[in-house]
Amino acid sequence: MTETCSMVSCERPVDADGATAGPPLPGFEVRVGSDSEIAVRGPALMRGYLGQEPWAAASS
Amino acid sequence: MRLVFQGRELEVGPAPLSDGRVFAEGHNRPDTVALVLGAMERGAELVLQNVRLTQAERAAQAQSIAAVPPRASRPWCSSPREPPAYPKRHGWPRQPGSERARGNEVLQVGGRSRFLCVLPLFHVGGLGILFRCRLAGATMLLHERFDADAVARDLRDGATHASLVASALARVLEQGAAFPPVIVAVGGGPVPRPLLDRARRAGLRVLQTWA
Repeated sequence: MTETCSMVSCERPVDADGATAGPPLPGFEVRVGSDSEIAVRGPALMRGYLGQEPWAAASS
Repeated sequence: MRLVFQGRELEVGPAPLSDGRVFAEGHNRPDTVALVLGAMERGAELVLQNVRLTQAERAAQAQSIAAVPPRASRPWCSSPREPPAYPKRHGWPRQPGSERARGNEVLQVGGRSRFLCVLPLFHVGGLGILFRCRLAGATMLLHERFDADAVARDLRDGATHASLVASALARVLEQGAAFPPVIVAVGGGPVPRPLLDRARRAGLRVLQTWA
């Protein structure tokens, strides 16, 4: 998705079986909340919308 | 960086930039690649417009972006999609290239790789391939638009990597039942299991991705 600046997780070529979208790529953290909301943290996340305050505190 | 476009091998360097912001239509063409490389080198803001927007949408987007002064002193990259009234602002990675370089290791992208790019350069999907190729010294096989037959040809004729959405993968598989073991990252939405199985039976090393 655009907000994550490209992929966050990916299957590994050595054991890809299509069962999942793979573990997070290096540098990314993924957490699934109790309400099933998926939270992502990593260095490539967007910093906010143009003309608005950056989201740096939330994405660092 | 090395590029193959419309059957020609090209060496594309960074476009010389004088402004802190690059604003251009994001066509999948070598001149767009040069602009991206120039923005990376200069740390300039990069605004690649979605060429599928209407003229009115593009004009509205240009107006909203022009109202915000460029941050020339900081390395930023903007890649607006829709809706035009709310363009998004991305930063270059805080440690330039390091995370994507490690991602390249995961995807086995190296200097001898040939990464097929049919995703639009105005979207992070296409830009991500450009960044990966630039970091790894790989060759990017740039397609101006999706053509299933042309993609299938490149998959059979030397591509080592590709990135496709599920619907595009399905159309490529209609072009033949056997392919070399090209690594194909598939994402942009749910990928039906039967499609993954079919791609694997055809010989492709498909990797499901997310985000």
